[in-house]
Amino acid sequence: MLRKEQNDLLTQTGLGTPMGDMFRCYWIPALLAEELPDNDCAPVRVKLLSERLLAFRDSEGHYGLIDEFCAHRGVSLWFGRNEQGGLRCPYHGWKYDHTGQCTEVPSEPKESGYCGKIKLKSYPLIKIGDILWTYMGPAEKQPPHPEWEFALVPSEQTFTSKRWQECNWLQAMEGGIDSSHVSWLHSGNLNSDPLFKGARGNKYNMSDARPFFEVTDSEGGLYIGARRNAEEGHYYWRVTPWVMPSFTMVPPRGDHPVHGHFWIPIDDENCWAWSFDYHPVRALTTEERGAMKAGKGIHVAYVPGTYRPLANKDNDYLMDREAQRKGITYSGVEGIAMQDASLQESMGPIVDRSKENLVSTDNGIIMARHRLMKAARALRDKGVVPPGVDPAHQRVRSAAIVLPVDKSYVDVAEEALTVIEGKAPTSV
Amino acid sequence: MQLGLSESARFATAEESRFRIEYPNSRPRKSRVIALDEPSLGLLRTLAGMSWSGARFLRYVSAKGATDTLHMLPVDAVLEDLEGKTLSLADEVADADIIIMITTAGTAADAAQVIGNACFVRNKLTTGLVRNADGVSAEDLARTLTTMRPFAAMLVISNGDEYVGEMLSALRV
Repeated sequence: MLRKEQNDLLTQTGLGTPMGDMFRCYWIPALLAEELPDNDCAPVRVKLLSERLLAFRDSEGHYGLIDEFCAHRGVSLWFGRNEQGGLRCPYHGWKYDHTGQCTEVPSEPKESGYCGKIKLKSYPLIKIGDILWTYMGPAEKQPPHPEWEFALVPSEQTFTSKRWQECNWLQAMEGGIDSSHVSWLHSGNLNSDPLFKGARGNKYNMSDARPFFEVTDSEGGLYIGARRNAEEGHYYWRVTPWVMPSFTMVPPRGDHPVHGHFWIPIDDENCWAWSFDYHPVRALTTEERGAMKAGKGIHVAYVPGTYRPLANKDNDYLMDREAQRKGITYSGVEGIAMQDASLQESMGPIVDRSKENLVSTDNGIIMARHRLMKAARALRDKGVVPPGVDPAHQRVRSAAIVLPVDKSYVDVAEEALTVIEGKAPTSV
Repeated sequence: MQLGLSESARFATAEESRFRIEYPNSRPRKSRVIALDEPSLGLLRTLAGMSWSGARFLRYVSAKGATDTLHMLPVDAVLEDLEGKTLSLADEVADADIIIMITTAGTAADAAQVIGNACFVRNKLTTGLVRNADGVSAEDLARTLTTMRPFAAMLVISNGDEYVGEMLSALRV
């Protein structure tokens, strides 16, 4: 349960809000690199943290992320002509480079220098892995580039997708650290989805629906361990790292690729759910990559030409009551991602957390909220850089491991939960 | 309400959220917050001074002798409230909805076993909260966790005491 002022603090991410300022301390995913495939390709509208922006790639391959609207008469530059090293407004020909600097105002004499006085707000946009990342905070506080392992491995080892989720970022993100729902909502998928089935660990999941939990702070956020019974004298641990503000990794299953998410606010009532799959030591197989593109695992099939899920609230998520009755899917919605998203969107755009009744197994969520509020206040009141900005905090892994009953995942954290180049994930 | 849209689209709007029924959807829970060691008593007193709906703040004193049939498994103990009144663990557990054990990293936390057993036989879940601090060695923390682990359905390692009040509030203690 949260009081209204706490809920407001956590869910509002516009400019000048405490949580908005905190998001502006990080490099965050802005677009898939595939959205700007070539020099001088079509620009793309981008809304992030309640700011309307436009991304483009100029003739020299520079990426730009600038205010969407022309400084002259407020026209959307989405209609612009991307040509000869800049984006030209089609209304009166004003032109901007990738930094937002106006380089031409055709109606004014060149010598007047008028265009030099016009500059659109812009943010850096860099390509790392399959993602174009941006940093929307003060230039003088720009942190080092992100070092998430999934974005740094060779391209044949990684796959990233994104989908539009029609609710606040926090209720989406909280699903990623809520391990106890997996045995229910996703129970139909563990033995059928090509990116999950066959792992030895699945049987422990299915045979013990009441796991014990252990939550501990990490430098960048939290580790949330779920403990289930395994063979005599052993426990099966699934450990989810959460790195502030909104990165989570799902514990692996067998030798399947490892997956995880970012939840990035579009505005306060919409977010991008970023989903990645990668394997630290081998290329993804053709079958795996095909399954990911087809929307299996944590990915989705799209409405053609968009990043909106094919199953969405406009078609009741293609609810299949027969599949629900037969237990093919537990909720009647197909696919892990939309099973989560359908329920999270049903809460409304911003869920009223003053009405919720949390139980002790929700401590991961409670502690994540606590860490977020504490960091946002520390940033606001004392300028303290929040956890997760430091690339060292980003070098984390999830793990699935069977340990003797007198051991915990905390005992093996150094080896299992830290990125070690060339080492396979800790998984069963 | 916009006609022509799916039910999910119509009902998942902010406008529709205004029509959610306003009523208390849960009754106050009876909670017991039990300090297992001396260092946690100060925190217990601080928490007790705050406003809660149905919490009782207690400290563990000692295990009671087990019955003949449960000779090896002590499931009762002497507890004390902050006024020094003696209470029975068995009675307190039987009456509680939420049982939270608070201990300090580096302490023995043996009381967790007794409380955990008492909860287990009454089918109650326990939450264990271990207060960690910068000066505590990894070995000391591990020792406390090892003791607590079998007896807490949810084990939380918290750096700093402020989380404890936050957690109790979130759980509507």
